[in-house]
Amino acid sequence: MSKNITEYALSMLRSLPRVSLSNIRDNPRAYRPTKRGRGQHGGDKHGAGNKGSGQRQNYMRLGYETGNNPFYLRFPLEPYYKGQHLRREYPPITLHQLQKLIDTNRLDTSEPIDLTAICNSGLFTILPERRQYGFQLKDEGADIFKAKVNIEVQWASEPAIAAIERNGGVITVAYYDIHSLFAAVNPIKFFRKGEPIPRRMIPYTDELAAYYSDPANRGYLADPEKVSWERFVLSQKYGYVLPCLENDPDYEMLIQRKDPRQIFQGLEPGWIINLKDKKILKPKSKELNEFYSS
Amino acid sequence: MASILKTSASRLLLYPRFLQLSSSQALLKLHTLDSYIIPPSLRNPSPIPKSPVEEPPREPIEYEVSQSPEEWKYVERLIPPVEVPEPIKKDWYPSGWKPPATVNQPYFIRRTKNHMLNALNEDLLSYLEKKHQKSIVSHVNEVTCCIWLKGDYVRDVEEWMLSKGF
Repeated sequence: MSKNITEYALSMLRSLPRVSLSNIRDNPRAYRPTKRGRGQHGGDKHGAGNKGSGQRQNYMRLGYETGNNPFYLRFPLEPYYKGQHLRREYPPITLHQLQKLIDTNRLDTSEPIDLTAICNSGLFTILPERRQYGFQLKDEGADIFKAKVNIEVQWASEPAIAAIERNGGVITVAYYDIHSLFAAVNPIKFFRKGEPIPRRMIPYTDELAAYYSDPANRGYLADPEKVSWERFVLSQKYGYVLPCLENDPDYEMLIQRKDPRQIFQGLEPGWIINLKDKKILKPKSKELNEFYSS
Repeated sequence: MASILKTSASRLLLYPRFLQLSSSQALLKLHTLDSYIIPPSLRNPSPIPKSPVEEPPREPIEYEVSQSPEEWKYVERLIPPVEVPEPIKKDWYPSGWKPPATVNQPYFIRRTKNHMLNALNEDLLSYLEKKHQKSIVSHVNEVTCCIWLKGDYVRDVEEWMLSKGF
């Protein structure tokens, strides 16, 4: 019959009603109601003075300066943060950092490197909720870069492109919309939701579409023939011999590119991945397949 | 006593079980544990009766299940490694990264921090002053085991530590 005090307390908690305003009150003497002053010192005018707006409780609005242009109206609005919520961010990753990742075996160069691979290394993150649209490749460390990679980033500067191509690698610049980014940045978390892999959307502004269609930027929507011409042009500009990709033993890996509607290499939109049972569920209906492949 | 009766009367409204009891009986009940145990059906009664949620009729979506290892290979590629991978041993790395020289390295740094912090500081300063030909201000904090240097010497300190084998 002797119940443990903790069990007592827990059983009480289980059965007590929800805390609300009706069963709560202040600690004693926490709040003291004000009383209207009486007598010689608190009485007579009761602290309101003589006549005027003070005694008649007809006060001027806060900020009013008896007619002249008040301080809070003198200066016009400066739109410092207008459109801030729409601006895109591309967190940088330098070639030096990339080289370090490869040296310390945190990135596998025998497979194509994309946004997911860099995020999975654990050292770099993309926060899509903060309008970060992917990585930009910076050229710091272009002199010491010596790895042959098939890399896909979201923005790249010209010297960075040159450094990668000089070492026999391939660089592509691809766009991921926010929904696809959530999937790409943390694929395991996305698969656990049980949602089908979405289609990657095309760039939403004309500017972006132009950037990703430009072969000089190695855009993923650009014509591959024009891209190979631009590779040659860049090699002439930076003064290196363009390595021949066809003769490369890793040619097949380097030539791998994702479809513009694909988020994950090898996995098509519309599929649902069952991580626990190691199964892939693919839709059979013709309409769904047409939609996902469009 | 009067105040207790007042509050108890308001509480009677909350707990419908006590409506059948007299106020003195209710008071006694309130201050025992049994009074706090309310059946689930009476807890937080809502005035609106619940209606069953209607979902629009859906066609069953046909799907096929695939367990091919080639496709699963692509999924496994997306799974991040659980542990930090070991770097492959090479003589030289293009990025200038050097692996730690000896296995006792962590122990050595701790020893230097705790007992030879000032000696470490002197070594470091002599290297830096030689390199830059100007006196460098430094501050040793023995409690937290750190050395503060005034100026931009991060790269130089890194090089010195690499040369020492850290």
